[in-house]
Amino acid sequence: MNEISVKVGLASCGVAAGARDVYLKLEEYLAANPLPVKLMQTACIGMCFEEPIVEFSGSQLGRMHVGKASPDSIIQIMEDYLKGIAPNQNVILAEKLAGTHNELLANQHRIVLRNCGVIDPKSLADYEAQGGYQALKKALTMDKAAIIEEIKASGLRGRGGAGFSTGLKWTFAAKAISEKKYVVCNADEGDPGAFMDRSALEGDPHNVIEGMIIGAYAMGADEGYIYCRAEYPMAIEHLKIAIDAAEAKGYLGKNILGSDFSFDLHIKEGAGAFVCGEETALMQSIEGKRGMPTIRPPFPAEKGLWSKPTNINNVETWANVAWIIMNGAEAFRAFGTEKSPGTKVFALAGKIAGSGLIEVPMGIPIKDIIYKVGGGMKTAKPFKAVQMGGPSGGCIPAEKLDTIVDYDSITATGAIMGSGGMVVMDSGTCMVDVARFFLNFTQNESCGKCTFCRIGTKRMLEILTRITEGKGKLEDIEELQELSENIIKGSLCGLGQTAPNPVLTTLRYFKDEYLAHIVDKRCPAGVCTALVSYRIIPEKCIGCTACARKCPVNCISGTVKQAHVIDASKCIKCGACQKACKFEAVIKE
Amino acid sequence: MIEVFLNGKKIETEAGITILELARRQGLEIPTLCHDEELNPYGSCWVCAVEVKGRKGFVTSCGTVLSPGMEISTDSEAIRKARKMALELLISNHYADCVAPCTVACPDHVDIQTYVSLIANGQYHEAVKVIKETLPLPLSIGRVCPAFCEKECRRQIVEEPIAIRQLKRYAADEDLGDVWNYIPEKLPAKGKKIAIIGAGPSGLTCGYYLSNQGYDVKVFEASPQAGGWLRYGIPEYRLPKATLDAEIELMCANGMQIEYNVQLGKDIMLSDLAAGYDAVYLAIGAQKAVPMPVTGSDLDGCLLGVDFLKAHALGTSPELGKKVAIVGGGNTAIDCARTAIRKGCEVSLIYRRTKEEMPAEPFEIEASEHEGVVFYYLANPVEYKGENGKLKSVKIEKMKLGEPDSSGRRRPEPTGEFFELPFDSIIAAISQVPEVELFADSTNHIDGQVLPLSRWQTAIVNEATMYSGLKNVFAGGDFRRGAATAIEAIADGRLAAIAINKYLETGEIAADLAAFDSKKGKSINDINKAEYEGFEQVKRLVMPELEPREAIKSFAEVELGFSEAAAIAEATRCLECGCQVNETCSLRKYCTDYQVDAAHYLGGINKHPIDYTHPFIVRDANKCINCGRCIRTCAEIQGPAVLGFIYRGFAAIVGPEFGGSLTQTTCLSCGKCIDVCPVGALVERTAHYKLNPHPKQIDVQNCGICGVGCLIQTETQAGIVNTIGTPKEKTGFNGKNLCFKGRFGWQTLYGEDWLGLPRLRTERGFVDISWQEASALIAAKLQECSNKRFEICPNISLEEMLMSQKAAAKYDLPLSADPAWAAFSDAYLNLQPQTDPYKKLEEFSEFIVFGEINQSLASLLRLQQRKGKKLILVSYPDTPFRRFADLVCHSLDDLQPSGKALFVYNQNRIPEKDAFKLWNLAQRIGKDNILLSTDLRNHLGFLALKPKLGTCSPAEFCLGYGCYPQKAREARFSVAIMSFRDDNAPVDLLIPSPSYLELEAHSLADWGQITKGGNPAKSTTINELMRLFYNLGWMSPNAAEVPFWNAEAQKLLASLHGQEPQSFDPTMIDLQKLKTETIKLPSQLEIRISRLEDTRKQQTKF
Repeated sequence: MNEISVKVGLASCGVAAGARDVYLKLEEYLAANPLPVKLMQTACIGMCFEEPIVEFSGSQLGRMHVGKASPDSIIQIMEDYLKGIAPNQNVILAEKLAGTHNELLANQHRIVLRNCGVIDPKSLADYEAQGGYQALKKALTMDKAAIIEEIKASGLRGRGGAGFSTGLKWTFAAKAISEKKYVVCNADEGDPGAFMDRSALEGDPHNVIEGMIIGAYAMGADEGYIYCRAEYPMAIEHLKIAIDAAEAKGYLGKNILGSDFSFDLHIKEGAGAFVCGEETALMQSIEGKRGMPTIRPPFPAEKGLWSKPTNINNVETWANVAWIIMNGAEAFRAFGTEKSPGTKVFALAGKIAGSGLIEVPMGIPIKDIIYKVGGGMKTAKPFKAVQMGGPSGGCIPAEKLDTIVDYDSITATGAIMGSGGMVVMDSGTCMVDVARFFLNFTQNESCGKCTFCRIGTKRMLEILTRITEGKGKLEDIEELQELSENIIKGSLCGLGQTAPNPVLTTLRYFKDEYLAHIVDKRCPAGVCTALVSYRIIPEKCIGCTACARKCPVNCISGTVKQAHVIDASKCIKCGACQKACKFEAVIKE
Repeated sequence: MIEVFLNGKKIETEAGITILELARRQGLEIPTLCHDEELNPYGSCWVCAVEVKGRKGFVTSCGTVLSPGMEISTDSEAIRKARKMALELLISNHYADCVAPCTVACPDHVDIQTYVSLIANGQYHEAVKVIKETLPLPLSIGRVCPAFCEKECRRQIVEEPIAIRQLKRYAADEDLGDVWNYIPEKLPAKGKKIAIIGAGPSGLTCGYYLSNQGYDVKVFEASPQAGGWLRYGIPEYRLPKATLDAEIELMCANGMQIEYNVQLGKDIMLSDLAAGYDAVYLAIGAQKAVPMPVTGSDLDGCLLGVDFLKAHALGTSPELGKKVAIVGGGNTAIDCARTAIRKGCEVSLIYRRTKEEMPAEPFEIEASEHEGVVFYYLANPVEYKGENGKLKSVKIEKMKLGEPDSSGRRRPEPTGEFFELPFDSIIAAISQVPEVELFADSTNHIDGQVLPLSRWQTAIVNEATMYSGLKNVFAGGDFRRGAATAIEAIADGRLAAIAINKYLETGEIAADLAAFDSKKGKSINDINKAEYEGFEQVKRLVMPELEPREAIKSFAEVELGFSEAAAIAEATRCLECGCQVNETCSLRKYCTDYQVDAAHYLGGINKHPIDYTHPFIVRDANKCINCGRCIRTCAEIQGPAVLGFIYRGFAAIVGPEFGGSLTQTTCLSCGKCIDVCPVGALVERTAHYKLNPHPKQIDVQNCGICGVGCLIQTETQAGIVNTIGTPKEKTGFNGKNLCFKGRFGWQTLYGEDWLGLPRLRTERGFVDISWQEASALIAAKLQECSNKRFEICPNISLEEMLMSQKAAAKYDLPLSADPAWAAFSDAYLNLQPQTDPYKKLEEFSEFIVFGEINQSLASLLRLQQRKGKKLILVSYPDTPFRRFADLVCHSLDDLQPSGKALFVYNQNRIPEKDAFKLWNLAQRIGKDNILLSTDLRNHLGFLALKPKLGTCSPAEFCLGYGCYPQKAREARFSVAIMSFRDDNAPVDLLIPSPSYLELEAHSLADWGQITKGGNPAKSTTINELMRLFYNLGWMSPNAAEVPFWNAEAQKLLASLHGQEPQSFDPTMIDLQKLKTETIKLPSQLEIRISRLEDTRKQQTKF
């Protein structure tokens, strides 16, 4: 009998969902009951909404993914699989949900995530088995300029969000004359709802490291830093293991693979400041200073870390490098659009059925991401907007859903590609509240340097809060626009320059919601507590008194079998009555 | 050179400079708060925002380097709006008062904080001078003002407000009682005439300022005497008329003339005045009492408040009878009541509301209660009943309080219940209105037009200028406001004077542009009490008063005045709410320039307790604008890096680590953070002197504490130096750098042990004697002693050395000095005087510093290093400065200096044998490559005078200037000219010497720099000393003045030009004789400064 392999997804998403318990259960069982089973770990395969996920392969049943695995049932499923008995249909992902998962996988193409959920990220051998470090070997035989030319030809654009040509950026750093140069991997992923970099590092750390070694070689750097936020302990652990293994194998350190090229790589853990994802602030942080952006020029390529030429790319950018070197620029350009070639990783979150991590070719319409790859909306409530680019991004409304994913098309909507967070919103979302949420985030994360960003965003936040509380004035819209304009024009770094984006895009596409809050003192989505009111529809009320009994402030009156009434002046809008009513007689407006 | 376009104009300019620098060179002002020439561009404040074609958004002009062809716009609608927004945003989180709330509350905006601080410092004349800048009647107002200021005094949050009115009175009384009274300098005559109608507070004030300005002022007064209601309304027991007379006399000192018994509309006509004078100010007051609309008010015994008071003042008061009723609750009612009590009456006061709502001052109500006035609250007279045409009784209705009216007080409502009381007379003190009937007459028309009047019979004028709109006529005071207070009338008078002056100078009617004022709150009610928890409670001092039993017997003044100790103690309580730097704050200036609206972005504000824990630096984070200049200066230039940003987002703020106290850090107390702070977030504090924001006398001179001789700026107020910093206008070679000694250490000069008079050793220890006694004593001793010695030290100026030399020469003696000052290097030092030797630092590319050096010098080297040069420290102590070093060595042997290296050491901080090693090394490498620094103010001058530096035998008479002479105890009589008292001094007589802050004199400091002392506070010590020298025959009369010795010093300096030093020859030096210990004879000043410096780690309170 062939050896059966059982892989448990142990990335942060899986662990959070209980995958560790599933793995331990299997381990314990196999220790007590020797079976021809090879138990393995892997990382995230992207379907985070189905975690914990266990992959079985090797029997006549073929490859099979089991979702929402639990320690209670997993042993039975394994035993059945060994015997060739297919488990209950519901647990097999490929057959569940009328093809959602097939669509999900069929519409993706994985370059960055090619090994994620496939290999054991702690195993260098696994990585090598997938062709790992072949690109490095190839690169070391190439002319340095040719490597950069290849990257340039691939059209790879910085995946951190701004989309600057990676090849061009490398050219600047390569041209800078200095005895000492650095390369840096920006793994300070901080956008709310974004976890692409974390998954890539947890699932395939060597791929990022290999990209950095190639880049360092091409640009003439001999030292590198991976700046990873400390909130990603698993990513850091996997990176450390990977760096040690790569050093031991001669991929890192002195005279790499016998060449005269040496490269040392360090991990620097960030302390949790969002702004440290901004490259100048990031470098200050590596230098041991408070992470605060500095004036550019000089750009990092001229004066970066410790005033030496430095090239900074984010995790996803580095993760593309080895593949491009291995497969060539043309192969890369086979994906995506003319100006935005390749694939892009997105983290789907919010009111979407298939929340998780996906990698799609550039050029795919947003509509397809949501309805094909993401499986559509989570509930019956209709789609309202998708927020892209995190706090620096914006909201794309339903009428713009045909927009294709490439840097320029997204920017034209007022949002930005960003690092790849996509938060899907339905009609139950208040857009003023969304703007307030993101602004609150940027306000708290401003480093406090630039006047407009530090105080301007605070004043915008106060205005938005005022509007959501029904205290807005019509002039507030103009005030928001004026503040936005100067915050964008008068901030040193991307954080400030983009902080008003969520406000500006919601004002652009959902101005009527703002006006409803300000003029009608009404929140159309029923989110802003101060602006909603509960009312009983007399025709529907049968007088069961359930609501009156639940009301914590006794503001519902009425006699049995008669329609009840809510005293709005006393109502605290807790919603208990609505929950208590079995007849949908209590409405929120 | 490159070409750029600045606002469309093509300009050829140096490459590599920033837009800000270009603009400055082009004479274009771009505002900036965060930029600092010494530091790298930072770009945080964004008030320097400009536009560059092709660049997205704005760019910071401080941080943008020019590139060829750059097209820059520094002025557009968008830029102006953005800068204004940046300022408005900064101000929206600037929790601070530019001006103290008391001053804001005062209708006349008297600079209370300043004069209170001056009283705390014992500077009463200066206090009066400050008061009289806005309020020329402090004697009167200090007695009668309802003190609007005290109602906003923040001290009441701690316990009770400062007794501001009483302090004003104290200062004014002191000024009046002194040998000279403050009278401002009268400006040259302008040849223009002003007519003022009414010699009340408003008219007199207007006349006072205009006469000071050089105008011919004539005041026409209808009454026989001046003062208006101050004379005819305020009773004697509150404001003695003799005091008022004295005040008015002082006000007339610059030529204001008052003509009495002249009535407008009768004796003089407005149309004539407007034609005959260049300007007219109508301050006719509100003279007419408003009658009580009650049946029977025509009965005998029914009087009106102000009529009664005026009659009393004129001595024509009618008989009141025994029982007197006063109607009303204002100050006039109380004045009537207390006057009547003093006339022996039984007085009742009838008021419609309760005590709470009474407009009179609480302390006045209380005083009248004590004096026996009976109060009927919630009572309203409805009918006066009489018998034979004479008042007999009053029918009174009981009232109750209803809803608040427009004044915010609860409205009295009738109850329908009545009672009746017998009275012989009743005085209704309700209100007054101006008499305006006369303006209807055409003789009082101006250019055929009637003066604009309101339905309340008051003048309608512009509130800022008091201009009536007609020709050259202005009007103010009670005439404009209706019955109000004296201080409001004064405010009007002053504004009228400013406007009239401007009108007559420029023909324009316009008020001055008001400076921007940041305020913590609209009123004290907006202030969070928790902010004041840190202050210790100190009770308000009550001014002593006559006992009520005594007081009612006469019209003697009730308030008796403060003692000096009480006044100082009371003034010391002031919390100094107004910003110390409100005259120099960049943020305030820009907010004024850009017409900033402080309320535009009202919202959350970060509030911090003011940090008074450091003994020399006060940190008020509420004012901080996060420009980071202090942080960057401290970390990048000075070294300790004790400040940083803490928190993120809106809460981000500058502070010491973990938000703690600076005293717990390695702060060196160099105070440079104060100099670089563009606002008032970092200010100095001075021991023994309560600082204030009033503009000071600014002088620039060199520091005289050590041999570096930094350029300093002294700020002097009323003859007292109170702060020292670096010059703001034109900085010296030291830029913004001073060390602790220079910035704070000088204060020890003015401590309690400052030598003010000669002191003689007696059996009871040292005692003060007069200069004359000292002179006689020395003269006698000189007779007795045959052998004499005159010693100097390197810490006195050239002038003082030359004076000593002259004295010694009288006895054919050379000058002597302690041989401890001698060093092997003396012969090799270049004594040629230089004006800016530190320019030479530019010539070197490597600096090798051996041992510790002065901090300013260290900062200068650090600034050189930041240009890409090398800094090497050898045996440097473990201070924060060491972390800047490119290389730290233990020994010179470890060094391989380059040919462009400058060797720097302080002669008084390393042993001579080490210095010798350095000379040896330096000499091998080059020439003129040693900067010998010292702790001595006049090291090279000392060497130039060539004093005898040998060990001496005892002399019978010895005198040391700046030092105790050697073997003084063995002399028959020894004298030392010193700056400090010293009970252990080894001499018989101590004579005061002028410090470097008391004498305009020269020194030849390190590296040949000519430095100059100053005498900003106009000390007379040198005059006394010269008189002494002259009396002793050591000086001729023509030599007994400073300029003579200045010329002598110049001659000496000139003689040093062209003198070459010996070239260094190590073989000529006896190595055995080199001292292995440091040459250090610390001066008295140094010892004290060092002690003071040690206190920088001690936590202090407000």
